[in-house]
Amino acid sequence: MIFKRLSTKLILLVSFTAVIIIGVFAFISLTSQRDVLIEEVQRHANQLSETVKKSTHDEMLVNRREHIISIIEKIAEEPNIKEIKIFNKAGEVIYSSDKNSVGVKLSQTSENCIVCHSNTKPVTTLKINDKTRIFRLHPDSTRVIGVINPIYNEWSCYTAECHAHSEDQSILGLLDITVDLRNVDYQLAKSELLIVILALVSIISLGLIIAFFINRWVDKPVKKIVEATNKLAVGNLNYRISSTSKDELGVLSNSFDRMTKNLSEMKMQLFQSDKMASLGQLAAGVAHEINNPLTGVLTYSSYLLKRAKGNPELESDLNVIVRETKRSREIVKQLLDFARQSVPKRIKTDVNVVIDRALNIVLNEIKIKNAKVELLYDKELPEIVVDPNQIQQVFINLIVNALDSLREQNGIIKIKTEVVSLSPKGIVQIKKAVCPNSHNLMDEEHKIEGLPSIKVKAKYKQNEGYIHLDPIYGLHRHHYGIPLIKDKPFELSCPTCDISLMVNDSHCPECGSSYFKLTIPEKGELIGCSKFGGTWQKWEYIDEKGKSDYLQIKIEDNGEGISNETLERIFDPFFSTKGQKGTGLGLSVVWGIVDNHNGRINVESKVGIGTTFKIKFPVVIN
Amino acid sequence: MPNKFDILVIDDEQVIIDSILKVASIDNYSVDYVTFGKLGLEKIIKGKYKLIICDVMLPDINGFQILEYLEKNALNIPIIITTGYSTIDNAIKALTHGAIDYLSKPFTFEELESCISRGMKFSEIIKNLKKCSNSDSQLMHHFTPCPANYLRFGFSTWVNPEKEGLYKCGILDLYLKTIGQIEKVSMPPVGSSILQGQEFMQITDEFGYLHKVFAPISGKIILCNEKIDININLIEKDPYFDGWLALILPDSLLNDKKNLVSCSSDRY
Repeated sequence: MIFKRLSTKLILLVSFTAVIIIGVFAFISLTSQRDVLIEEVQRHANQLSETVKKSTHDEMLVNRREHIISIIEKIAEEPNIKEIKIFNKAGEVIYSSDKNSVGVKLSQTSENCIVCHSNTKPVTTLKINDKTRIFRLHPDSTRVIGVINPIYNEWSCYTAECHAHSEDQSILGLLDITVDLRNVDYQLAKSELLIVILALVSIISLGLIIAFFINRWVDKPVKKIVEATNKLAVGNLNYRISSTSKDELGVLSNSFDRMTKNLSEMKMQLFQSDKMASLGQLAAGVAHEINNPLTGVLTYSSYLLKRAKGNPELESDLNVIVRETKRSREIVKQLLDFARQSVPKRIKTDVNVVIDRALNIVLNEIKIKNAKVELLYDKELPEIVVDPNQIQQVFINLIVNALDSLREQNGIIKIKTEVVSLSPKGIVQIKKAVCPNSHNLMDEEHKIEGLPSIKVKAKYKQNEGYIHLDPIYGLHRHHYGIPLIKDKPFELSCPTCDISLMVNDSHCPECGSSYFKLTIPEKGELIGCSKFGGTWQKWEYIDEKGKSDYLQIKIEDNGEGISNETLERIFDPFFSTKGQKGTGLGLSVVWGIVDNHNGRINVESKVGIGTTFKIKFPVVIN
Repeated sequence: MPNKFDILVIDDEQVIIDSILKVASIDNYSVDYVTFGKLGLEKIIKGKYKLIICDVMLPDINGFQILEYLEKNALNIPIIITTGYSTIDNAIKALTHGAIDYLSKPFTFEELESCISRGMKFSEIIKNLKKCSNSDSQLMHHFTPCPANYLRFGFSTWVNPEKEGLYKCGILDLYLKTIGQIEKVSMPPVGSSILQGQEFMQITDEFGYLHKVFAPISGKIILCNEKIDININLIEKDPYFDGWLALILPDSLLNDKKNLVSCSSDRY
């Protein structure tokens, strides 16, 4: 089990890599250290050898053997020097720090001699590396380094009084010094040990650090996610991970939370529709069963009532029965209505096709006006669920309006369809808003850009009045019914019950003024800066959904344009600039249909340049 | 074997039959009744009833099947559908399949009375029509048919597309001929939403009967005809033009159109 864990695998992998890297590093470093040390010892031994050779030179010339022995012995007293030997030409030890070896004769194949005598013709000169050799005296003794130093014949030698050497000899003998490598080996072993310890420590600490952070960054969050999935598997849809981390696992946790939230909402909806379905069946059964006896009661009592005309006492009593039976009838009826709420039925529609049909209908008018129609269709346009007849009417009305505004010459109408992805700000309409006491804040009478506004009571110092807030999230075309000073915050409250809408100790992230809160039924809460002129608003429920796709239809003309004063009123019913020609209902019909389809319409116009209508319908998957 | 009964009631609830008997007897109509649908059908075929009042939920077959049978065999007997399970869907279904009226249970004495009076009157008009030849002038003698380009909903209302996607609606003359002279009309206020098949307005006639009128399409009432406020007789005088009732902005026309019939295909 433990080896299957991600953290164990990672630790093993990292440790393995570390072992290889540190191992290679240690090998290289130890090798070079050894080389340096050995070279140093070689140099030292050579020096020593030269020293012995030179210090015995004069004594040799006068052939004072006792002195030579004494010098050799003195030097050999140095702790690291194992032995100093001088061989003659025949290979016999003539001087040695070890008296036992004096007189021993070596063959040419002994390891002191083989360097020069390995070939048939002996070598007379040696490089420094060839002079030295490392070996063990016995298999279990410490390593030693041996240095051989040939003693060459010189003028002073063969002219010395002792006449021990003749002139034609080239090499008189050999100085052989063996130095103990115990210290060097000890140093090397120490270094090796140090590196091994270092490697072990680094691998262990690396493992521990990785284990710690993997546990913290991976294991724990993964464990939480696993726990959450298990909870989900057993049906707990309200469990949330609530991770604050921003890394990939944090993102995963958050998306998991979103998924469970959606699932639970879906489940609720499913449950709700199930409930509604069974409620509907129940209601149908109850309605049928109760309505039959009620019919008896109602017809007979109303018949009696009719007969009781002129008998006021009886009449009033019977009236009670009739009234209450009618009330029961209404209750049953409401139950039935509630169980089968009917929604307008719509079908999947290709908007491009609908525009083509609309254009076909107004073809004559287009010809009469001699107008050019440019179509810029998005061929990949998704189908949207609408009532095509009504949408067609929207296009007909807008195209006819555009045609009417065109001048005699060079009239162009451009129609463009596309899918736009928009953030909710400036698009989403607040259709319902209530105070904490659930009083409705929507004002159907007071409209901003054609939409019912949100009416709140505002207070600034002694001034009191009403503000109509823009119902479009993120837009600030509020209508102020009270004089306010720029940048000063105002206090908002419910116009019905006067409960404050302000949030205690709140600070707008942009300006620091306190903010207000509106409850949007079933869609969370909207908070916004209370400063006059403040533009900060936050509606988490909508923000969470992020950008959404809209199908946008742009109808652009190069006609006469609409003045700003007119622009404000064009969607009002019975407002017309066409005099007797129009009913003044065309654009309010357009507006009504678009609104019915949860769409948005807006218009931009410049006098003398032209008008552009933009209609957006939400693209809903499925 | 012709019978002497005016009305046939098909309902499995005795109390309903009794109620209808009571109402009908006041107005001197004779009533025959059955509690099973198939028996009802047999009686319809054999007998010559002026009016049928039929429940939807019957023990054997349902009221809509009877309606279908009448429609298929072009038996021009006016039929009123009643039900305890009164939904708009049921109302639409009944009215689009040839029922002249739809009465939801429980009903009051007056509601049933006005409904029966309309039914009997309707029956009379059909009878007279059958007697005459099918020429238009003869037809006009009894009632003014709805203009061929109009659409009608059942036998009560018509709609006609106006400019800019709005629909004008009014009452069919055939319906007007089944009621007495109009004394009062009560309409829902401008701006209110109506549903197709909903009893959206009421007419009070000279006899004090209260008549319900079904909405032809779903939508929002944009405008009511102010002229009829001034002169209520305009509805009867010019039911298809100056006597219109309301201007409606439809909101599910696609679906509503399925339940509308072109006036050009009228049988009567």
